[in-house]
Amino acid sequence: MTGLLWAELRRFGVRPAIRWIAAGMLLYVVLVLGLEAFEADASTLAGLLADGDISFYAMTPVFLAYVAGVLLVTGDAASGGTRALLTVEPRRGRVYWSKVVAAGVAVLPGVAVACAVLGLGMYGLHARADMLGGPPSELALVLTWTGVRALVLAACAAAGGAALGVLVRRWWAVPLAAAWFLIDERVLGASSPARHWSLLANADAWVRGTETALSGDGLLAVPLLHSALLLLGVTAALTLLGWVVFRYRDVR
Amino acid sequence: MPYPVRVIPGSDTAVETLGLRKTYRSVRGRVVGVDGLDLRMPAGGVHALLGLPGSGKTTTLRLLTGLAHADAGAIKIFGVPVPDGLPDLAGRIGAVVGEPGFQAGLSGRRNLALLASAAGVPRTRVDEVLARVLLTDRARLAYGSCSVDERRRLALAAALLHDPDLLVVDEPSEGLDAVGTREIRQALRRLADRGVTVLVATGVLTEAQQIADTVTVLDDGRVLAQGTVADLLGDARVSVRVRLDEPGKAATTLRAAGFKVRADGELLHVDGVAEPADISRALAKQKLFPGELAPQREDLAAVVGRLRPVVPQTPKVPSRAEGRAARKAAEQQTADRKKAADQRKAAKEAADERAAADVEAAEKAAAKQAAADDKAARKQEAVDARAARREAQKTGAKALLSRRASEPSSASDGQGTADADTAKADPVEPGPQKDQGPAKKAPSKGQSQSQSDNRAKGSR
Repeated sequence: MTGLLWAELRRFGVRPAIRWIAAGMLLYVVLVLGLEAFEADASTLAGLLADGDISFYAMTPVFLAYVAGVLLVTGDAASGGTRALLTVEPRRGRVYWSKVVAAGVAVLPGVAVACAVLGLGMYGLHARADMLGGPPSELALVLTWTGVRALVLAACAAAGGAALGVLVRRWWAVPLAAAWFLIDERVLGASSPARHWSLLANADAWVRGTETALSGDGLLAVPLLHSALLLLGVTAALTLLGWVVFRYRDVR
Repeated sequence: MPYPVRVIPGSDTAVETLGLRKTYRSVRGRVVGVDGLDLRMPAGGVHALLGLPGSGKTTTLRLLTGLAHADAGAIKIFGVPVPDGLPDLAGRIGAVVGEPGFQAGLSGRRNLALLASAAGVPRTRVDEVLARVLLTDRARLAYGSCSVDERRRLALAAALLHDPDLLVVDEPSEGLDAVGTREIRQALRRLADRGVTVLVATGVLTEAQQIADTVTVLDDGRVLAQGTVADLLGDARVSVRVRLDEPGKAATTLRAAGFKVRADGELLHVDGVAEPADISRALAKQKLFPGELAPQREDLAAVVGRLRPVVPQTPKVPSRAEGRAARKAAEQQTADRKKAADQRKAAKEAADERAAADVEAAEKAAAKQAAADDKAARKQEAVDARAARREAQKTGAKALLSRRASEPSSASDGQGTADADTAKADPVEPGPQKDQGPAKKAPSKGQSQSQSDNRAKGSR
């Protein structure tokens, strides 16, 4: 299994599309920091964290991680690789889980670098403008935990993307997710009761790390735990479905 | 268990299938890949799956390697049921089925190393297999820059990583040049000589004849024949191309003489001929003399045609759908015929109507002409009659004048009488100018009578 995982990680690393995605991720972060540099004195870093601006910026690397996960298992090279792999390792379960785990693990360095650059850049810009808005150590801790949660979310997104890629076997799993996010934001996000089950809203709540919030009934809810369970459940359901399909479906 | 499996008794064969069936979904419904495939392949040597494109060779290999799942039937490889027992066979089977999906940016050696790490094979094995396929030097190049031949050999090297007991290769010489083809065939033959059981699927007859020990001929997903190459594809058999003026009669003659004949336009192909002169003799007996009689090495189509069982022509019972279609076609044909008859009838009626109208118009024109002629004749008669009367009146007046001149005494007495006579003799004597119009418009009774008489004369 370790050999399979290592082979998949190597294959993931050498694919040109993955390199382009990593470059796009870093470019995006630099662009965000460049724009923020012009208005660093508009709001404090603590305010940006509380308003969810930082978590919003972290969502793009997460989506790109999902795209990378889809591309790991789709396309001619991926199909041929899977076929070749199955001729030397006929245990389909091992092959499948190695792909899903490899997708989740492979995106970590890129997203970690992107989050680190984003967090350090934001902190540096606001410290320079003397607009931190809180104790530096506390802000640094919050930023670190936000980055860690974004990293976990990116790993889940990449694993889910790989599972979805196995299911549909086409690259259009990427626009499929984009369409879903659009519906999620416009339909589920608009109505208050359905918002509890919106993937985007829960991903945002997870990255923000909202501990408590006032629910509609006036009771204190636990959005962080709810979001974590929901996102984990969706990822687990997707990967299990992908496994069942991969086990019984013909390999092209 | 993913599909129903029938139990095959234990055997020494390398590969054995029983009633294997695989169908694919397509836009036109289910397409049969293999149907009831019963395959027996002995351990050791090279075994060829031979068949035309679409005969089910690749599907069979995909089923054997677990890349595809069968709809029905059973497979055993080295006595282990497949696909359930495939994990037990891991390392004993190597396969080249389709493109291996190597990374174009990595070297051949690197790609093999990745596969070796996935398969749990030590890295030293990579160099061994590269040496075996004669790629040690070229393996440093990026896979994307390798030739087709080198890619084929790299794929073969990947299949040999485990040092398998069974090597499965699909179309080994596809896309290769003559040198590459020869090298890959030699490599496969060498492997077989080292004790590896090699199963190749090929559509090239000479390939099977050159490297295979045993062969299975597939056709439409079924086994046509299995046996040794010498028995099934022996070199002695040739196909003879015959060209002559009466191919139909010649084909009948040759068939009657026991030859297998395929007609190809004006050409005849006689398959499985041991002695071509027999064909000339058989034709000469019927006074048929071919212009061309060319012996040819039997091709794969000829082999399949020769091995294909001759099915007696039985009247085919149409299916319900076919029956419905036939009925519909017959009804359509009847309706078309009726429509055509109606159209013909309508056209005929229209022509008759047109002819009748023409006749009627001609009659009317003739009648009109006759009426016009009649009118002109009457007018002429009236003019003649008037002229005659005027002439008679003049004659009468002259006679009266001469009588008056001869009888002067009685002239004064008979004045009124002469006037009365004149009036009697010429009732249309022109009177004063104002009375002439009405007289012309309303002729007197005597004038009308005279005109009627003249008309009657004219008519006669």
